[in-house]
Amino acid sequence: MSDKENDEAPRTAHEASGSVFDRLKHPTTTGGEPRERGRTASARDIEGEVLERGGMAPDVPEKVRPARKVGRRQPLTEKAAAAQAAAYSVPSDEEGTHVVPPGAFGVDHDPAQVDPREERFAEAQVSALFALTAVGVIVTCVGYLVIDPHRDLGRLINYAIGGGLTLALLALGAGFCLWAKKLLPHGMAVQQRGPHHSPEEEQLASEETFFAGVTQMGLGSRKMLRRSLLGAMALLPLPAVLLLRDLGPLPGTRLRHTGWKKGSRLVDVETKLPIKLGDIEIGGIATVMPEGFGKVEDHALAPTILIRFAPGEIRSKKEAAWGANDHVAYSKICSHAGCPISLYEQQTHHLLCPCHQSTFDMADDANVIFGPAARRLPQLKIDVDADGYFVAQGDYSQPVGPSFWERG
Amino acid sequence: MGIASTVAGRLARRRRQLASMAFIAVALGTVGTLYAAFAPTGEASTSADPAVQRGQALYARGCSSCHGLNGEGGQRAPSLIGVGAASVDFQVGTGRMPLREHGPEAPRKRPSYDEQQILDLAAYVASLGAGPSIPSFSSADWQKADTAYGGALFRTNCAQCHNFAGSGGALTFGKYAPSLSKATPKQIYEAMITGPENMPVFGDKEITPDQKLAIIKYVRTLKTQGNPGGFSLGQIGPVPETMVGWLVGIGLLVLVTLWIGARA
Repeated sequence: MSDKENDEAPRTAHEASGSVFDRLKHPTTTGGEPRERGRTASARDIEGEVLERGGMAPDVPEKVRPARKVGRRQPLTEKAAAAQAAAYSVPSDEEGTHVVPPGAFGVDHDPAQVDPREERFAEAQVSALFALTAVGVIVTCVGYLVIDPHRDLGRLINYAIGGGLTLALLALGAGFCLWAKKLLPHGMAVQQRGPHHSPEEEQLASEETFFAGVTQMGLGSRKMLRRSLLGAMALLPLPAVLLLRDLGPLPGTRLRHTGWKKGSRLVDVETKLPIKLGDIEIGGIATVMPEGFGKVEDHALAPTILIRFAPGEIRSKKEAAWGANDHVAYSKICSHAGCPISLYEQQTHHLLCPCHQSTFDMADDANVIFGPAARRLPQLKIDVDADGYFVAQGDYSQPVGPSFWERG
Repeated sequence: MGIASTVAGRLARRRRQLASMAFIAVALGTVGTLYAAFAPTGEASTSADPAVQRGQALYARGCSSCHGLNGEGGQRAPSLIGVGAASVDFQVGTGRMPLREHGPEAPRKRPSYDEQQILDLAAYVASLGAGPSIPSFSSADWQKADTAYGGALFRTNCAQCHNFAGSGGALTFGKYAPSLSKATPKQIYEAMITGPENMPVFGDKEITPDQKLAIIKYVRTLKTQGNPGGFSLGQIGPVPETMVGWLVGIGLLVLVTLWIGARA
């Protein structure tokens, strides 16, 4: 098929339909090409714009096509062909979407040829699906209104609303699909689109206007104007950079200090009661905070775990010296990514971080024996005061939690 | 020297014999008493308590090959002196002891002993040395506890290993914290006061008995309450939920899309 041949495309509806049927075996055009562009498009040209519905490619042999019960194409009688031609006549000179007669592109469905019994059956099927939608909607509404949401944690009401809406939407979608598949003509719709760029004359005119403006402003000759403009433009982004200040105050030294002070008692994080010597059994662990904690930063930095070992279990001399009576206190904040850790194994003395499986040997000064953590957990120096309560001997000697840029 | 002197000599000899016998008897008695005082293990085994005697017989047959004839422990097992009755009731009652095989973690299984035998074993082990005794509380005690307070305590002290919903979780080198779904209230209490295997000990001064009952209430509520969200997926957190969402949910969508494409 050449463009030359297509130039003689028919102008009337009757001609168009006739000509399409003439070319049933090698369909290449849909007719209705825009005339004012001075060219016509062959099927190859408009390939990307063809919306094919419900049919296979035109050159697939009949045998390979999937058999369809409904809408299997019958040979056309002359009368039927004429009726069809009228129904699917293609206006030649208008843009828009046109429906191509069935069969033109190997499409094998034609409502006119559908067995009326099958058609009624398909209608019933679609109607049943729409009825199911109604049922789903009713289930949803009744479920919401009738079921007490406070019983059994609202389990039933969740099922009623979720199940009802699922049924309604699923049935609605299935109904539309079935409707389109069994009852709509399976023609091919072609929509003509113009080019997406402006005509060349317009582009040239714009270019000309722009350069004429530049010349009139004298950007080339008026140096002071040009420089002051450039300077102004260069300064313009400055406020945007300055506004970054509002991201918050700089952290200052806050990352280096926690709520622990010399003499602060170790209190249980939950009960807020101070912990006495002997409260924790051998092999026990408690999460402790400095007495009077409450600030947000306390929760981020101060959490500490207090572990009691059996006598002689602590292998590190420094660890034993910084602890008191076989009790030691370490930061609960992982030195890798800052997760709170207290998965403590009392026989192996491993402390495991749940986030990335960093493992610390708590009997050896929290040495990292596995995982991505790069530093030991910082130890808090503790003592027992005159009343038998555990107290901190001061703040942590190094920043707790994950590493940061200027940590050193 | 006559007959009299001979008789007197005989009598004196007999007195000496009697005296030495008495001395030996007194010495033996003293040593025995002292031994009993300083080595209670030896003496306790001959306790008059029938439960201890039955327990000792069971212990000798079922436990002593690893834990030693007098509970002194060995290379394969820890000493049982001072672990207390609560520990025995927990370990044998949950089927963890007798151990099936050596490994990182002893799994929960069907108990090998019946309830009375477990109590006998516990009585015997308790007689070896003082330790936590089996807690006694009724179901009414924990049922009136505050669930929300128990939840807060659970999340502070237990959830890091046992998961927020008590589903358990992995520890290091193959060890794991078990799920709490099968644990009875008494076993939960015993685990807290004895610290089985690698679990830390939570004594009554750290977590008071009332707080322990609140934790038990929370754990039991987790077990009995409904799950409003549909599939719980073991309640082990966002990772499996996301995985199911991606693999099952999106996988199904892809399959449906492929099917539609193949039909068109």
